[in-house]
Amino acid sequence: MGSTKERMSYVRAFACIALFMILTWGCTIGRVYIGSDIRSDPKEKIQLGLTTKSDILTIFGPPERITSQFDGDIFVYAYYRKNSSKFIIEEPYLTNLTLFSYTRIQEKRDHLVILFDKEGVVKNYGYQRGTEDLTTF
Amino acid sequence: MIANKANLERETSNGEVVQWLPKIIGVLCLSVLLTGCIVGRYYEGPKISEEKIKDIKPGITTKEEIISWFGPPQNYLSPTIFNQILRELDVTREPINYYPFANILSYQFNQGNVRAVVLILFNYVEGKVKSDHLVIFVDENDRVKYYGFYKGTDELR
Repeated sequence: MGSTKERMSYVRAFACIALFMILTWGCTIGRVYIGSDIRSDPKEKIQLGLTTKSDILTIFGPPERITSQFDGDIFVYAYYRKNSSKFIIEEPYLTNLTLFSYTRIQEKRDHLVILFDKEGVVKNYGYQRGTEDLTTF
Repeated sequence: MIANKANLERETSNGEVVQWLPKIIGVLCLSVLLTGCIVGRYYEGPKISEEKIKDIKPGITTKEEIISWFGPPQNYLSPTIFNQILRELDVTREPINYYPFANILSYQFNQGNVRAVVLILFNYVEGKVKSDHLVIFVDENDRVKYYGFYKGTDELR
């Protein structure tokens, strides 16, 4: 008889804990994507002194930004991604007390900058692939 | 008699356990099933006609034709330092026709999709912004020199 009462109290305690947990903790995952992935590997497609502006437009499409300088144009391609994760344990109704909070925000971008000479031929370029470093959580 | 009473109490207790379990499972299920769903769409700029893009021919198509097909360009860029300064100062908002030295016409249509699933214990939010982008370079005779087009909004499907 004592064991069944104990079992009942365990069940009630479990129910209270479950209810408490439901009311007090949560997890949020966010994903943001802006722009398009850089379509080709510049190392394979761009040849300094040979590739023209027309070739670049055909291979990579229109740039996000064009900057004009006295010695030629600059094309800028960018792809931005943001991953965020948040886990929080709090009592939101009575005390508004946060017991534990974990937040992780990762902002990365792929960047390709191409410099042309006055004739519209690639003079130089820089490429950085940051989105590969993004982790899930 | 005592043994029977104990058995009866045990049965009653087990019965209560059986009564409690569905409630607990119900609460847990409710926490998962009480969902909110958010869907948002954002559109900016005029759509770029893909049919007209096929008609663009370098060396033949004129700037006037481009403007009549696609309307006034959204961005304006020029190779002159003077114009670069004007852009930095945000004074190049006037229509393209006011600047006869313009050599780049740019058109952009942006689309943003937001979707979220809101549960009690778990939320997931995702936002994507993609663009259809057309850039046309014009030579000194106001004819198309070269152009580039990318339909980024296809990635939202």
